[in-house]
Amino acid sequence: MQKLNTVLGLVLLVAGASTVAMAVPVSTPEIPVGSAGSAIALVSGMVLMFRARRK
Amino acid sequence: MPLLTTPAPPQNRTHGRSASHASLGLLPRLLALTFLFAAELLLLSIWLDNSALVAQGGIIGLVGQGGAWAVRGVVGFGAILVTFAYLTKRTALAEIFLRVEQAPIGRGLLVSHLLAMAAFSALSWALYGSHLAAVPAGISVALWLITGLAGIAFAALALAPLRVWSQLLRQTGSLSAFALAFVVAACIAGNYIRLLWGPTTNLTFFLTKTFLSPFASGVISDPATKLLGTEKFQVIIAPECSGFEGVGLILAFSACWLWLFRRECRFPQALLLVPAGVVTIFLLNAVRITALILIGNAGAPKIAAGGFHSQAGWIAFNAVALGFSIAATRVPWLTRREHATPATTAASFANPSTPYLLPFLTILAVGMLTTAASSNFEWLYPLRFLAAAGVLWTMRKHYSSLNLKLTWFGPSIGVLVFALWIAFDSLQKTGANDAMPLSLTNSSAPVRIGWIAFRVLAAVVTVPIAEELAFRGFLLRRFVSADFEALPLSTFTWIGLGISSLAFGLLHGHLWFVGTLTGVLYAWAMLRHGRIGEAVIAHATTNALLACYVLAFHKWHLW
Repeated sequence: MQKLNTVLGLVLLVAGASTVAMAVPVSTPEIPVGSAGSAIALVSGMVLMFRARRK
Repeated sequence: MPLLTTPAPPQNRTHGRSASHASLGLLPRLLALTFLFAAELLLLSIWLDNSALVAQGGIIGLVGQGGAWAVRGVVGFGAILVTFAYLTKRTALAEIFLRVEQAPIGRGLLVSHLLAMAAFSALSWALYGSHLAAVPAGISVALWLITGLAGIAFAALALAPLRVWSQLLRQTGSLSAFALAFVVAACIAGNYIRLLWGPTTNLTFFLTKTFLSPFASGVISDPATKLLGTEKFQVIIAPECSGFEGVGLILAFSACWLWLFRRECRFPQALLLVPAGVVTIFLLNAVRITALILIGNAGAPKIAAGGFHSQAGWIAFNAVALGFSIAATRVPWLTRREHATPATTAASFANPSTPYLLPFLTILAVGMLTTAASSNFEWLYPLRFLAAAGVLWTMRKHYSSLNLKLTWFGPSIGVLVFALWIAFDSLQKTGANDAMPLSLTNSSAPVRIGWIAFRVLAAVVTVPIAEELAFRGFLLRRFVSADFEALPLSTFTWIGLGISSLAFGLLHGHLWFVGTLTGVLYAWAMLRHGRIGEAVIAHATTNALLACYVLAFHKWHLW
């Protein structure tokens, strides 16, 4: 089961990375690169805050 | 809750510093190497235009075309290797970290690196400017590659001897192969994924038309050209807009989550979150296009094609990622985590990261929404200030010991950063428009002055406080310990400095390099006396000077 999860995880990562990496620069993209910094900062910050240990 | 200035136990205050003074460890050397290459690459990219190389065709054109892919591949390989090595091989690497401190930095090799890079730069100039027409293309390209690779090798060997690199390769052997295979697989898979663009565009077209019909009368649609809309406003759904990018982001996000927090997830049911996320983001893309058409149809075509189009995809991604996180940690069927009791729910506000992160996240979230509701000018910018000020005011008791004692050091760092920022900006050939935005120029004086006043207030008050709390107060210590508040603000580690500064730099778009340097300098301001107030004052000084510069010299692209 653990190996299956590893393989599945790798497939997901490769699929995700290749989908985003191969995106062609167009004038009206679905996910504009120009806004990537703040959007990824927001999602990372949410995850960090969400998972922070409560006292 | 512990407050923002934590008294420093004497034994902890020098944590990490004393070791770094004796000799540089592996991590600072790797950071220095990365920084050196990034600076050199940046200078070359500012100086030389890659399109000139591509236009030459032949083997030189191929090098030009492959250059961007090579950089992307190297960055991807490095990012995967470093992340997984940090997460899985920390103990094994600790031994190498200790050994490398005893190895001196090779000054002769550093000089050789500089000479090789000088030769590489000269050859680049000749190659990019077609000054080597007399030399066969194969030879000039070979010489160019040899000098470039020699420059990389000399720098790597100067900072760590060959035995350390081979030991590092042995310890991370499987990871290196994995990272290489990952990058190659991503490139190959990416090309095949394009084959799916056609069918998914058809599906997105059908879904959008279905969603649009109840809300708009007289829907115009042409399946052949993928044109969809109303009499007033139509769009063409391009293959790149068919929802694949959002799906890719969610796949990457969910794979990282399920792997990083695998011990907390209940498998196999937690895997269901992946298709759920994919289906949701795909449907939201159709909703995004529907909303875009409806906004355009309602008489705001500039907002539809401008701000809304640029932000809606990211808003959808953030919403799905947040939903994924909540489901993965809160639904008992999916997680092994202890369920929240009424007491812990009530104490959720005692989350130690909240006072540090919430103001910054509020600025980002409100910024996304105000940009989405804008056309070519963000009239709603004051909302960013008001929202951040509201959060800071609500949480003010947590900042009661924020030490804002003014010394010469903070403002000095602020002035230095301002000078750096102006210098780098003038180096970048952005071709940005420096004039005041037309919408602002054409508005009445009270509106114009009011907007500028809020813009300056945000730059000088809320942004410095929120960003310094997040990057220096939280992130700099969070990568040292999950219980970051137990560490004094003067705690220095290379990893904390590197990650927090790079993250801060990346937030500044094409000025990422100077942004990273800025992060290092603001961190220095805080670490020197262990007071976050110094960093806030430094940041506020920079932003105040930038505001004066923008307004006095009409450099509006800096805003």
